[in-house]
Amino acid sequence: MSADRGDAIRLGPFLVRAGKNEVEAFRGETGALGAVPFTFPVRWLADPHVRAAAIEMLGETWVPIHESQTFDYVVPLERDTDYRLTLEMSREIAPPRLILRAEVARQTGERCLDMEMVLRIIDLSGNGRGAPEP
Amino acid sequence: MSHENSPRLGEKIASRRLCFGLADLAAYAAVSGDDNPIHLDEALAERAGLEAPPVHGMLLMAAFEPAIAAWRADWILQKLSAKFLRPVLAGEQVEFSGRVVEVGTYVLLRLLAHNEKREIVVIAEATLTQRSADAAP
Repeated sequence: MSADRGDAIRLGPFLVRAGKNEVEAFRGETGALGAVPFTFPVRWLADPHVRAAAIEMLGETWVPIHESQTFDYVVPLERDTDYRLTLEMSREIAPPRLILRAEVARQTGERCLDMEMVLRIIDLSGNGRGAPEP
Repeated sequence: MSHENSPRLGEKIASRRLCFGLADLAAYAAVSGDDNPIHLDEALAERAGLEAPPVHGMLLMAAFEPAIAAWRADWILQKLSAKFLRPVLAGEQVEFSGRVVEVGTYVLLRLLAHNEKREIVVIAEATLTQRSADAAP
């Protein structure tokens, strides 16, 4: 496995919020409980800015397969409250992976949650590689 | 810590079986924002070497939360880590289970999800801390 941390980019901070309607819809599909379901913040990793950065890093002819995920809470999140999301995105070449590390903090700066998402990259370009080289 | 009412080493949480169909994957994509087409497009899944669209890893991971809450509402989930070892395809039945592997000031659960062939598809660990008396459940 080779890691290319030189490719790491930082994103954010973005303002994020677990709104009532989004929380209720998420609960309905997952059976999750709590004011904000434990895995709800994964929604924020689907932000268009994050997606655009991944496309910039990897090109467009790939799909991600989820390899691992961690949520590590300092304190539970509250509904209808603004938080700051900051991310670091990096890639590994062999095998090809995209790694997202994210921190969710209060507007005042206190850390609430760390997330890590590891995605295996499946190349769809037909060139036999997992993902295009940078 | 070893209170009379604390979880016991080896104690199991109630297992549950779930099956996610294509409509479930579409609904989860809508509420999670994860519209990765491999979960929704059968032809694309086939191009990736799968017989059917795979269930979102996060939908599988999310299934542990209500199972843990139903087991012990007096303990709060603080950390959850999961590795997705094999794809679970739409329409496959999955069994979720877990047991206590450490008890201290926190409780550590080893969580597993098996497919119909009894292969482990997700292995996870959950760290729980005791809910304070004034915290809402």
